[in-house]
Amino acid sequence: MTVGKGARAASVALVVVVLGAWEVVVRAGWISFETIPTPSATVRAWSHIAANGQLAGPVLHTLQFFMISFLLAAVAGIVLGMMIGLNKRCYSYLHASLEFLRFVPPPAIIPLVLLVSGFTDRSEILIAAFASLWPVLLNTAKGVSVIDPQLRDAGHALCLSRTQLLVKLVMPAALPLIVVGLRLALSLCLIIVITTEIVAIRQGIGFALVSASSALQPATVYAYLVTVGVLGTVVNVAFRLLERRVLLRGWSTS
Amino acid sequence: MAGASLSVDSMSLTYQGRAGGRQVIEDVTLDVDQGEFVCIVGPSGCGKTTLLRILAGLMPPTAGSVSLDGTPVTSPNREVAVVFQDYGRALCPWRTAVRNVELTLEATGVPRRERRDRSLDALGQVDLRDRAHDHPRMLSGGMQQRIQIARAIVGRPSVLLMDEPFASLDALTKFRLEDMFLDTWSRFGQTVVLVTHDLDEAVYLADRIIVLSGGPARVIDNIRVGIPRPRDQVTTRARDDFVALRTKLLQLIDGGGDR
Amino acid sequence: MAAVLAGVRAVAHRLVVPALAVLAWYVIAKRELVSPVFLPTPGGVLAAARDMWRADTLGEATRYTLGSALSGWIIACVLGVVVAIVITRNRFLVDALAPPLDFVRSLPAAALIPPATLLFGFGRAMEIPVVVLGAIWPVLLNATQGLLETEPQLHDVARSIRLSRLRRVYSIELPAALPAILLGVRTALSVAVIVAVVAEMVGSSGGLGYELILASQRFQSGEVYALVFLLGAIGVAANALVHALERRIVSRPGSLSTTTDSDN
Repeated sequence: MTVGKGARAASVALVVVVLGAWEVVVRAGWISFETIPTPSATVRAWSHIAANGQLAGPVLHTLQFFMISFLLAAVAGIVLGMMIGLNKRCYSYLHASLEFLRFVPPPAIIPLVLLVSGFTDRSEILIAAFASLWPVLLNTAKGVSVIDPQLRDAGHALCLSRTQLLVKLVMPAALPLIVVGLRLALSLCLIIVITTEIVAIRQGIGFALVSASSALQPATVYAYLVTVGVLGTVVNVAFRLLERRVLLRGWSTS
Repeated sequence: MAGASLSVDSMSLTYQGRAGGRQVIEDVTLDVDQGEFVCIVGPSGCGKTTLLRILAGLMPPTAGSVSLDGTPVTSPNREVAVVFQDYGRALCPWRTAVRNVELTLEATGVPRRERRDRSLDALGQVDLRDRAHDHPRMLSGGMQQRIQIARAIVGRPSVLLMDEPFASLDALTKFRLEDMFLDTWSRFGQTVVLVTHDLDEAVYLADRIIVLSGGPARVIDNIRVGIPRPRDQVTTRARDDFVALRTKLLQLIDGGGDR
Repeated sequence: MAAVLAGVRAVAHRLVVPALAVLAWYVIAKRELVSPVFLPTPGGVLAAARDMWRADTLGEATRYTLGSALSGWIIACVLGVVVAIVITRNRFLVDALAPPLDFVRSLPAAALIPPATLLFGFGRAMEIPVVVLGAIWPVLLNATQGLLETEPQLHDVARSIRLSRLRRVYSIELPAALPAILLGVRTALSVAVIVAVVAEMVGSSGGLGYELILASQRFQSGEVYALVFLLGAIGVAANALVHALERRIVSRPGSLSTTTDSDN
């Protein structure tokens, strides 16, 4: 979907107006700035934490743990998903159980993992990787198990070997679904990493948010919050580029 | 690369369901000569596609046998190429036209250079050389079906099995593709078995028409089409023997399939 | 009779893997291959659940969590649909709002908890707004999509029979968008439960999330497992319930898949 120039300008104008109104409302004292900072105070707080290193440290921690967890989940999800999806019998037995596990709220496993491996870095990775494993696994399993019968017939009729069938037809045909799983896992992973930091692990941007909040520094809280939003947006945009340029490059556009 | 002969000997197929068996094909015997163009017609849902899949070795019959030049067919064979009805689902959407055609040769391990050359050549046969590097979704239905035909002929098979290849195309595209295909066939002389429910198409294309009854499929007639070749959409379709044959087929199918 | 038997077989089929998993769990826990501090026996979990049930912690926590999740969910659904109707009156507005909304949407609901505690303090007053903000996106996005994708022909029909603007929304656009909206509503419910639990883990003194953190800090592994299973069951049940409702509402003849005219 292409957004027209006009819409983009309106979008910017809208943001400016909302921020301006916010500034006025808080300055006028209609809302206490103990609870909500003005946009300008947020900007000042942001440049402050950016200058004294309170921003880079937590951001790097979060990004690092996010990437490790996501890679783990992606690799494990694709491998397990293929093993399960390609084995019809196995898939038919596991399907119901996997669907059940999908609806277990991911944060529920936070205390479980904490119980087993404590408030450690390993816990953070385990929790995020485990939570984001499911979308990849389920989509991969589904993708490789439901190849179009006519395409499979075509492959058989061309006398493709089992390996050729898998590499040339089944896997490419499943790719869009696998990519959907990866995209879901990506957002989920970042969410869970930050959630874990907020709930339990005393590190990263999630913890920075909590500690600024308990120190009653609203401007700093909002500065971190904006950073979280930028982080999420950047990660999503980067993945979408990767998706179009690399992962689904062979797939027709338009 | 002249054709091979194909014969089906008292073949039956029964699906085993929970509520007992359902016979889909009943005791079908037929022979297709080397280089012959045979159309199989029958009412919708009579098991034509299933018959074709058995001919291709994609599924085994419950009883009877299929043989190619006297050798039994039990699995897909490189000598036999298949063109499926639904081009949208039988092509790889992630491959360009020429890469789709190459798939046939990848299976046989032809070197990369030769693969590309032969595939472009096959696309040339179906007038699609200039769209060789487009993806299927960017091409019209007729063009996609031509990719499938190119993919089938690039391996130089001796038998072509086609499952309603022109059924989902508009009338004009269909005429053009029929002629294009007849032209290719006259040059290479493969044996062709084409399944269709379009009686006009059968009369126009075939040397011989095998008429099936509906559920379970049985051969109810075997008609030789005496119309001389080359055929032509305008004059052939206006011939008296064309019209007479079509009328005969219509009566056969209406009487045999309606119950 | 055969159908009943087939049904029983299908259920048994689904239970094979869970049964094996429980058996493996039982053996591992009973032999203490993993310390009981981390892995209680299935019996231990049941006992913990029974004790919490008798003390009414389980019931109270569940009521608390469901109370916040459901009230947040309902507000999110209403708000989401209303906002979607308003912004889809104008395609330009949808395009202009998309980037800022995308940005806000990219914020994890948990990250909203610290600012929300500043604004609303601890407890329910903070929990419900956070749930609303977390759960509104699926509804808003699906409803917007659904409303925008109303068959253009239906618009023409509506205009040709001179329906009023309001009537057009109510009689044509909303019913056409209903499947999409309901999908959003279903997703929103799972999200609402999740966000409520997280909010309770951080800034409430009640609810399943709070009990979970408490139990894990006290190393009451039986209670932790019992609560996790309960949350899983709530997640599945909520989804199944809305799914059933959804099928009930959307099972219109038009939405049935059409069969193609081909062999086999």
